[in-house]
Amino acid sequence: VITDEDVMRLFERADPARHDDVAPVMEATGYLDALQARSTYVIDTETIRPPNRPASRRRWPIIAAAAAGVVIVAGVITLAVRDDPDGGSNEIQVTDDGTTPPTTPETTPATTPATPESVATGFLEAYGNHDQEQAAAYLADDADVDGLFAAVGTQLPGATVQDLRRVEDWLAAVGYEHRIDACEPRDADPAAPRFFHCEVEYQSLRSAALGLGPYPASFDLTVSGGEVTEASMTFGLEEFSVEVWEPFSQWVLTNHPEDAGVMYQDDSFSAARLTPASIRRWAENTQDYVDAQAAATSRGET
Amino acid sequence: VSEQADTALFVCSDEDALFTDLYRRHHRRVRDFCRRRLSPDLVDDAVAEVFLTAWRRIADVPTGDEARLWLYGVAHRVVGHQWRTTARRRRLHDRLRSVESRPMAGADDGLADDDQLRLVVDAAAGLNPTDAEVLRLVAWEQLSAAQVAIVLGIAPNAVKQRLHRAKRNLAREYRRLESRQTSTPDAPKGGSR
Repeated sequence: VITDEDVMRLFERADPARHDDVAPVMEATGYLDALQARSTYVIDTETIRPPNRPASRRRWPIIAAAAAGVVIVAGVITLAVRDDPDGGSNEIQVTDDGTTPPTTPETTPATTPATPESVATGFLEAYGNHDQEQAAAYLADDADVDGLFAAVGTQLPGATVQDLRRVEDWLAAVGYEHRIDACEPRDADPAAPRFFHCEVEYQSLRSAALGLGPYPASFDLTVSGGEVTEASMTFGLEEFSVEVWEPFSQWVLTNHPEDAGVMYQDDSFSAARLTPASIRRWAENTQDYVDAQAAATSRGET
Repeated sequence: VSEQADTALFVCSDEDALFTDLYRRHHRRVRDFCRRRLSPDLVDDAVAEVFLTAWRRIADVPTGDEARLWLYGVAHRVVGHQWRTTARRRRLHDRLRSVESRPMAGADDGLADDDQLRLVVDAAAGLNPTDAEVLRLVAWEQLSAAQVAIVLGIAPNAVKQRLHRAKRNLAREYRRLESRQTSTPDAPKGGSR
């Protein structure tokens, strides 16, 4: 019978580079020259960031007001110059309210309009990073976020953006994180995308520290007027449930039965309570669970 | 890409020297890393991508053996990107049936003549992707758990757990494939009349 170690040795021998002929290694300076030439057409994805959306949409009224002010001032100057037979070359214009307008017209601050794609991915990045302020800035005030509650097993019809902080607190407490794999529009008109389906890989309940995951999940986002107006999430639970959720629930029941009623909504143990006391227990117990598993591994238990 | 940034790198001879040293020391290992994970036709581009990143971020590259781990970390992301691109292309080919589909070469094509090695590679393909990567880094790049943790950006303890599980699952899958192979009689040749 072939043992685990025998298989591992076979795997070592299966190294595809093991019997490679010595690859031709270009002389280093020549390689640098080649890279420099290559850099003229290769785009370094690491340097590209989606255009930053303003930190808060509440800046827009200020920018609009400033732009309108600039237009009015520029109009006053233009009219004054046109009406002045001398061209107004050396005179300082004074407006009706006695203030001195700038001698050179201001320009509207250069802003990169946020594309629907950048809004969708920006929201997801903020949500995955537990940046509640930034995530809220991407959401419309009346955004439909019921689907984000439903994803964590809580039905809260009419949940508001403020309510969403409870979900985000819980996600942060259990070490949730995700990486965006792809965000693609799902529209009949690709020129004006509104609906986005985004695939992510997530870790939760400290699964990464347990040496598990990542697991798949997806978000469906509707973007309108530069804001996310509807957001829902679907966890890929098949593997996660078996590998993480259920063993952890079992561990809680065995080791901290007094916490179970605080942490879970009911005795199906399929959804978390989103109260401050519950969130604290989730943070503590998921960490303790990781430590317990690590200890078991070091003792050679599986 | 900022032209200014590129120009700055072009003219800085100290950085050129650092890069040259980095390349001389680690090119072969980075190439092997990519060769182990990609089909041969993709290797050179992936290696170039790794060193392009190193060149642009030469100030961030650590010294000593840490540099190798840093390069492996970059290579890990480049290879992952290449895998996703290949998978997307494959899905696209599946959808566009009019497009001639050609089997893609794999990193392990050279193993075709060794049944046992082919079997163990097939067994590894059934593992969780991160577990499989931990296994490759330990078995092929000969890294310690602490070094794997740096490359993958995960905790050393998580590496140990993944490695423990990966070895066990690899052997289990290998034995399963092996028993299936030995219990399956050869298909009749020549077809029916």
